[in-house]
Amino acid sequence: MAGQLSTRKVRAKDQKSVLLRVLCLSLLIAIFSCAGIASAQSIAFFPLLDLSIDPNGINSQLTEKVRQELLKRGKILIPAEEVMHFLVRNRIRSLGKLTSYQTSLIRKELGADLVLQSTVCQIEESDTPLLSLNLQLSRTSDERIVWAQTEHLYYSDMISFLGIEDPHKLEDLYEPFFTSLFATMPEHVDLGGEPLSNLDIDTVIISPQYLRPGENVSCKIKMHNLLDEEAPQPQLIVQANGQEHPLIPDEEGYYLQTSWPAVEDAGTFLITLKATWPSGISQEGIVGSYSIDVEKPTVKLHLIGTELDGEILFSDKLIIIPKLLEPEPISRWEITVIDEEEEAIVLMGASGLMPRRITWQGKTSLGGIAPAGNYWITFTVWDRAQRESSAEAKVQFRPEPPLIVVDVNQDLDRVLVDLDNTIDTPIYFWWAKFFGEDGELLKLVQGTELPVTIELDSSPDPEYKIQCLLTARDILGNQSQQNIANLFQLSESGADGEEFSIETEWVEEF
Amino acid sequence: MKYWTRLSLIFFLFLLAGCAKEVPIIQKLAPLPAQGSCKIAVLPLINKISFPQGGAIVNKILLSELVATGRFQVFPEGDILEIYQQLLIYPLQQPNREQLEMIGGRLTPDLFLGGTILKMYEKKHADYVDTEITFVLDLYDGKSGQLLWSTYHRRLGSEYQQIMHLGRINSITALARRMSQEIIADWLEQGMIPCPE
Repeated sequence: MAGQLSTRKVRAKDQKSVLLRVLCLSLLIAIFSCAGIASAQSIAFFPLLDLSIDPNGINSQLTEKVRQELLKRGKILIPAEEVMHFLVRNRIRSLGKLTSYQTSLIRKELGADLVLQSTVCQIEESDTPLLSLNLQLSRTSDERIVWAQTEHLYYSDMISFLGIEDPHKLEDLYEPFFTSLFATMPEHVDLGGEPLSNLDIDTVIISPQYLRPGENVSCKIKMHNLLDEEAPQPQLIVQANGQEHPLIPDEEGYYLQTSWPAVEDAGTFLITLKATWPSGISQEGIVGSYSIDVEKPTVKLHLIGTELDGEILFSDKLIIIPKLLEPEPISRWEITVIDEEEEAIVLMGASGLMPRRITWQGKTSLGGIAPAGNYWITFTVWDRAQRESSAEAKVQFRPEPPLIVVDVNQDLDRVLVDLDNTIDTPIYFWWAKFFGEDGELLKLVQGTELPVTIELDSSPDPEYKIQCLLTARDILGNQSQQNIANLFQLSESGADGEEFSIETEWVEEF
Repeated sequence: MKYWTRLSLIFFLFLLAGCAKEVPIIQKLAPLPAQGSCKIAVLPLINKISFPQGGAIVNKILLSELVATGRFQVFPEGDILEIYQQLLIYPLQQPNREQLEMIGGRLTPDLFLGGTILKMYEKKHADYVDTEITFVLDLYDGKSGQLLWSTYHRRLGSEYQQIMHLGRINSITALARRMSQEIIADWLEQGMIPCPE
């Protein structure tokens, strides 16, 4: 009896011990499974942005290496193909710069808990290798960056006294580099938290941004959430200058839009978007601004040329300096040159800054040389509110060089040479040199006024040749040169109407 | 004071100056937000250097180091660039106060962190690299866009060298990281209030 009792006690004890073991085991399993769940956070790992190539470079080789290192450390990664499809589907063209909205899409479309963006800051694959990477881990639930790390390793950071196992290629850096890079990466990230910003604005178009009093301001906004029909839609109102303007969908349902007339007062007015969700939560943010311009610009023209009798003359180039009396940014400018027949021979303009100076070389917009004559230059500017101001100035274009008419009269014992200028532009200076047959300088005459008569003390022998070199320059810088081989021939030909040679090129040797 | 005493004093001061640690120079134009400087929007830095992608590298590192302290909430780079695009601001252009006010109205940061890179230099030798970075980092109010603090910092990689080649900084990335850490530490020391723990 006592033996049976003790056997029962032993059995009961055994059962208790088994039960305890089972309990402990299940507790351990529960702990391990919890830990398993905790570490099973999926990561969408994006291809590496490689700044050593260009601002939008991609490094596929290192992307695969980092991916392998992450897998080696037990991370659960979204398949690379799915990540690539996500990039293509959402038209994401630049790496390493995901927006909060794109991060939230990753959660929705890829089911990832975390996003890992990486950047190659520096890389060198020589015998003195260098590698530096930057990692940013974001949480998709609230789009916040939860961990970031920059790691760098240069070959000389690893060289030893004896030179054993010194790195000589990039691969030699990998082991210590990745160990250090991932050393502080959290095993488990708390997936709670609230987003930093709720206003998921895709695009804002305010037009015009600069306007006149009474003109209509149009505001078009595209929200990311509008594309997501399942998401609760907020009521959206735009506030500007103390007035509220409800946003309504446009015809295509792509944008939300509203418009209102601008007030009479000058100034810059901020546009605030106020969103109120069905839950009662409201949020507002400034989405842009517009400016009302009440002042008209006033432009003046200053021409740098030669002034004669109150008119501006030029021969080779005219410098035009436009000035705004009250400096302000302009949206565009235009210059026109009108000829005597009221035809525009030059039309040029551009948007943006007004040029500090313009040089007109007397050419038409088609590239040809404009004929001599009077021209009217008009410079027009438009400010950012499209208010216009013009200034006009008249100029005379005189590109012709002085045309000196030479008349030779022979007397009994002397030769008289008459010089006259047939062009209206006043002469700045002239000189004439007369040479005998043997090259002897007979006379050198110079002056600043024409007409003039020069008397040569030479035998009026028609067989004797007198050479004349003649130069004249007008006040605009136009210059003419003549080389008359024989003055008497000129005289005879003038009488008989025969041809004679007047060389217009410079032949005198210095 | 005797001649030799005076000379010794000058020599001693000279030695002291040589040992002085180069710290960031902070110019405080206005106090930081009273509510703290928890949420920071890092603006693209203005690049006045020819070093390829120098600005982008420092931008990434600065953002990472702020996150790495675990004491700041930093806005993603993409959010800032998206608003730049909407407001027609070029990434290498410093937004004006009105534009900062608009960005602040959208993101509601406590502070904007912008700045200019003045010098970035890297020259390779046989076993080491000469590195140098000079930049100015500016802290703007997250609401009004007002400039609050301006920090000038210049460092050479060789300044960190201890014995032999040990400690020397041989890459621009490493130097930028070290300088960012120094600046953030200095800001916190000077009274910047991070996120409550």
